Order: sequence, then C-alpha cells, then structure tokens
Amino acid sequence: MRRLDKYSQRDAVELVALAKEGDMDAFETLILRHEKIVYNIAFRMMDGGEDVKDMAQEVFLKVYRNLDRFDGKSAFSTWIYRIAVNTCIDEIRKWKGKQTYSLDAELEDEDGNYKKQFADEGATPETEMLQKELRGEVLAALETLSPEHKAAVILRDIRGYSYEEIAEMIQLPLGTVKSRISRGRAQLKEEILKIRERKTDSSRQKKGKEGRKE
Amino acid sequence: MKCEDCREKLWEFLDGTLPEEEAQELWAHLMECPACAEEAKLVKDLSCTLRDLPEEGLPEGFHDELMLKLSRESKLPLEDKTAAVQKEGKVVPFPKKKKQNWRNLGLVAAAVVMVAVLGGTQGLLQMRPAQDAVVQDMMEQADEAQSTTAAMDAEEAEMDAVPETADYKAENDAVSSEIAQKSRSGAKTAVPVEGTEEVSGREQAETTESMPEPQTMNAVTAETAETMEQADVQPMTVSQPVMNQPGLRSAAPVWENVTLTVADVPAAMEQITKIGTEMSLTEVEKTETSLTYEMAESQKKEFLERLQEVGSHEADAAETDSQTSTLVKVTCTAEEN
Repeated sequence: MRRLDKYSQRDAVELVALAKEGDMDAFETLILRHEKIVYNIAFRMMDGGEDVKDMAQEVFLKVYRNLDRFDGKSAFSTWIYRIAVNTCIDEIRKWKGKQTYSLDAELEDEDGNYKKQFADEGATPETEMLQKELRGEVLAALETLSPEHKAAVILRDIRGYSYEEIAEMIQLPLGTVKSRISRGRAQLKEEILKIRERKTDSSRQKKGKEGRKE
Repeated sequence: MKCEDCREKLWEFLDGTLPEEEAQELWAHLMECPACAEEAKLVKDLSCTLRDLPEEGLPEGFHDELMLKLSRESKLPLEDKTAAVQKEGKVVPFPKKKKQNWRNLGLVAAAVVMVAVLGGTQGLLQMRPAQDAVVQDMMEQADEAQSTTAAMDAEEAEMDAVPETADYKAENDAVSSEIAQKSRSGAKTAVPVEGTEEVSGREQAETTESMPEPQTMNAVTAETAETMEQADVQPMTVSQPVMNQPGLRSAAPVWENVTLTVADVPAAMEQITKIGTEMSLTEVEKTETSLTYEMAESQKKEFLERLQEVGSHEADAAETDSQTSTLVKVTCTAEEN
C-alpha cells in the first residue's frame, strides 16, 4: 500500500486536524491536492518568472507555519489561495521600483513578436496563430497590472471563482472585489489596444526601412 | 441602454452572471449599436483567452523539494525526513479549474449578425470580419469544451506520475535554487544559505535561514525571534559562512510591513496612534499614511488584532513571549470604493 493512500478518502477538515497534530502524511496529502493550483496562481501572478517555484513553495511553508491559525471558518482551499495571492503580492511589492519595465525591450524580440512565456511550436494554422497572438497580448497586458488588480483578474477570469469566493479569499468587501475586477479588466483591455497600436506602428516602421533599402 | 452601461456589463453578460432582464436589455442594445458589438467581440476574445490559458505543470522535482524544505522546517527525526523525500506515484485528484457557463456567447454572435443585417451596406462592411470571427468561434465552442476536458485529463495523468528523484538530487536542487535566489540581486539581503553537507551545514543553515530581510513576509514566526536571539549570542555563526554575501545584516531588527485597507486614511492614522499610545509602543517613524512602531515580538499579536478594528489587513503574528524587538510599519491605503 502506498504511503498516502490511507488519506485519499479523507476530507480537508480531517486532514487539517491530523496535520495540526503533526501528521506530515496528512499535510503532504493536502499539499498534493493544492500544489498545482497554487503553482498556477503564482505562475500568473509572477508572470511566469524564475521565482515562481520559490514563491509557490513559500506558500506551503507559510501554510505549515500558520496551520494552528487556520480556524476552519473558510474552506481550507480558500485559505491556501489567500496565502498564495498575498505571498505573491508582497513579493511583487518588495521588488516594485527596483525593476524598470519596458514592454518593448523585455517582451518583444527584434521582429516585434512577444516572446516571453512562449515556445515557438513551429508553423500553425491561421486560427491557432491568431489565438497564440492574442494570448501573447493578454499575457503582456497582464504584466502591466498592479498586483491587486492582477490577482482579481486571475481569480475571476483565469481561475473562474465567483465574486463571493474571491471576496472570502482576499478578505475584502464584495463591492471592492467587484471594482477591482472591473478595473483590472478595463486596464487589461486598454493595454491590449496599446500593444496592438505599437505593433501596427512598428510594422509600419519596418516596412518603411525595407522600402528605403530597396 | 446607454453604451457606457453596456460596456460596464459586457463581462458579466458574457460569463452569464448578468440577471436575465439586464441581459435582454444589453442584447437589445448590442443589436443596434455596432460599436458596442465590436467591443463585445474584443471582450469575448479577452475573456476566452484568459479562461483558456493553459495550466502550467509543476516543474520537475517541485514536490520533493518542497517536502525537503518542510522537513527542515518541522525538524523531523531523520528517518521521517528520509520518508518524506521518498517518492511514490501518488494518485490524488487535483481539483479542476472551474469552467464558466458562457451561455451568452451565442447572443453576441446573433447580435453581431443582426447589426450587420440591419446596419445596411456600411454596417455590413464594418462588421464583416468581426462577424465571421464570432460565428466561427460559436461553431468551435462545442468541440473546444470537449477537447479542453480531454487535455486536462491527460495533463492530470501526467502530473500524477511524478518521476522518481534521488534524495541527493532534490537536495542539490534545493541548494542551487537558493543560490539562484541569492544571486538574483545583491540588494536582497539575508538570503538563506545552506551548507552542501546536510549535517555539518545544518546549524548554520538554521541560523541563517530565518534571518529577516529588511521587509519580511507577513508571517513572522516565534521561531524567527528565537533564531534572532541565537544570532545575538553567536554572531560568528552567522557572519562566518556568509561573509561574501553582499548586504547581509546580522541580527538586525525584524521589519514587518502591514498594509491596512481603511475607509478613511486620516481617521485610521488617528486610531492607530491611539492604539500605539495605549499599548505604550515606541513610535519610530511617522508619515502622512504610515506609522512605524517598535515593539516586542510578544506585543505584535495584540497590536495586529487591534489593527483589525481600524481596517483590514493580512498580517498575522504567532503567540510568543519573546522580547526581541521588532519594527512594524503600518501603511494605510484607502478602500477603492
């Protein structure tokens, strides 16, 4: 029998109780249930940067250290994702100002293609190309959001949680949550339009240069 | 319905959370307003793209490395530690990403078509590309839903079969990731330092691992305070192995930043000052929106709890009787509403 099989049928409340008593197998079972989502929240919050893994692991270390303070008022998953979001926001805030963002320099290669977070998978049919391009724009735009707005958009539009669930996660009134989500979305849209504008400009410039060469 | 209202409600309309009556109004508006229909197309593209962003798989060794870090944290007996990093193929279902019901996408498509029909030649020419795209999307919708599920299942199956990793590999990974973290910037002080030999490096690692950065994470544990005291007694233990770490501060006071979301910043500042006075805390710094107090670790819990009466924050402190001094900076930010 595999070591953790004994816990596969247990619910979170039981596992948390066992983990609080020092049962590491119970805690590991909880980790296994949530690590992928935590990693994905961190991945989106940190724009897929090199510190995603450390951040995601840090989340579970914090969960472990603070297990005694989990009061069961909210679902365990809600609590974990709250810690995940806050850990990322804190980290981003800590680095804010130390890095200067230049969309053009960091995200585009010489041809103006958005390179970050994408592996070129070779030739693809046109619709897929368009989808990929759109995804590139969306990810680049996400990077420009403040961590709080980004978190709101990630939880609502990427992860699909309801307003109520998100309010519980980030512990803010429903109205604040709604306004964060809608501001985040609005900014996202604006950024995408800006990105498209820049793309049009740069392709126009390129054509101009080529024209001069000939 | 005005265009402004329409744009505000588009997202909710698209994910099906707008009440029926408003949804009908909005639809009616989309049928007669090409500009809003165009906007609806953009919003639909955006929300679909966000929803369909691929799930990232965990990097190799993620779980093992995490369990190793945890076992260090929990100071388990050695045999448990070995057990903790032994890998087995585990079958634990991951909760699936919630998928929304995009029931109104069809309506958008219909609205775009209607506008094209009603809008005459001019409208038709303008709307044509958008219409094509939306209609095509609609046709793909059913297939997409199926293939997404299949892809996710496949991904999960992949995730379940975590490859076996030798203990030393996980250990090395842990070390190198910490090194990577360190080298990220010299400005980041007091990064964890880990000896390559688990046993001999252990004491140093423990001492340095929980050394505070200038701005620590919210959760500062009693253990940190404990370590701080150790560091005071044996400064050499800290400084010796990490001599070449730029910017490392040994035994510096613990800094903690608390962001307090409040309705009224000046009023909150007054309330905080009152708490500070009542608890006889030493005020270190004061700005228009922030207050920094020096306090003992043991006072922090009460302080943070009382802050909750002023506004909402995420900081937490452990129950401790440690007298180690800590600096807590409270920054007030106004609620967005």
